[in-house]
Amino acid sequence: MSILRIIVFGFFITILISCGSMAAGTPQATRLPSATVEPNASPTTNVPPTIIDVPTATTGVVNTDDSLASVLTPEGYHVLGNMNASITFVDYSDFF
Amino acid sequence: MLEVEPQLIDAYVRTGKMRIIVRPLFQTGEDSVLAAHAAECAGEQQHYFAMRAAIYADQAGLYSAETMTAGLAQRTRNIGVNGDEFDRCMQSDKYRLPLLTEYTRAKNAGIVSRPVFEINGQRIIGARAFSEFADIIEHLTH
Repeated sequence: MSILRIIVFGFFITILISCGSMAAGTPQATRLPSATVEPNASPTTNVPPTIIDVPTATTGVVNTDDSLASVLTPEGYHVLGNMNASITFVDYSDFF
Repeated sequence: MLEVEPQLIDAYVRTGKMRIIVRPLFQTGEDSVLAAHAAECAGEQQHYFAMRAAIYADQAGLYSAETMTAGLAQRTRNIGVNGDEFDRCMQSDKYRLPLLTEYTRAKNAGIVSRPVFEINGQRIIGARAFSEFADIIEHLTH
C-alpha cells in the first residue's frame, strides 16, 4: 500500500513539474491579426500594433496633398503647387 | 475629377510643372455651397486641398450622414482639422457671400456648366480622361 501511495504521489509531482515548466518556459509570440504581422518580425519582439487613422472614406483614395504648397491668389482662389509653374490648370468645379 | 485629379497632381504638380487653381461652382444647390464653405473653413487651418480630397472621396457618405453639415464635419476628423475651430467657421457662414459672388463671376465669364477647366487659358468643357489632359499639358511644356 505504501508503495502505491509513493507511486501516486510521484505521478502528481511529475504532472505539477511539467505544468510549471510550460508556464515558465520561453514566451510564445503573440499572434497579431494577420494584417499587422510583418513576415520578418522577431517572434520575441513585443511591439504594440500601430494605430492608424483610417479615413472613413469608402470610395476613392484620400490624397491629402498637405505635402504640397498651398496658397491663395490675391482673388482668394486656392492654389496647389508651385506658383512659378509654367502650366496653370484652373478647375471650375462643384464638390459634387 | 475624383480619379483624374490625383493623377494630374502626381504627374505634374508634384514635379513642379503645374499648379492647380480651384474656382468653385455650385450645381447642386445648398449642398454644394456647404461643401465649398467647409473646404474654405478647412483652408483656414491649411487643409483646403485635404478637405477637398476628402469630400470627393466619400460623396455617398456625405449624403447618408444625418445632415450635410454633420457629414462634412466628420470628414475633417482624419485630416488634422481642429473640430472646434471648424465648427465655429461653419456656423459663421462667412464664406457664403464670397463663394456666391465667385459663382456669379464665373457665370458672367461664360462658365455655366461643370466641370470646366482651363489649361494656360485653353478652355475645356466637360470631364476628360487623364491622357487627354496629359496630351495638352505635354504639348504646352514642349
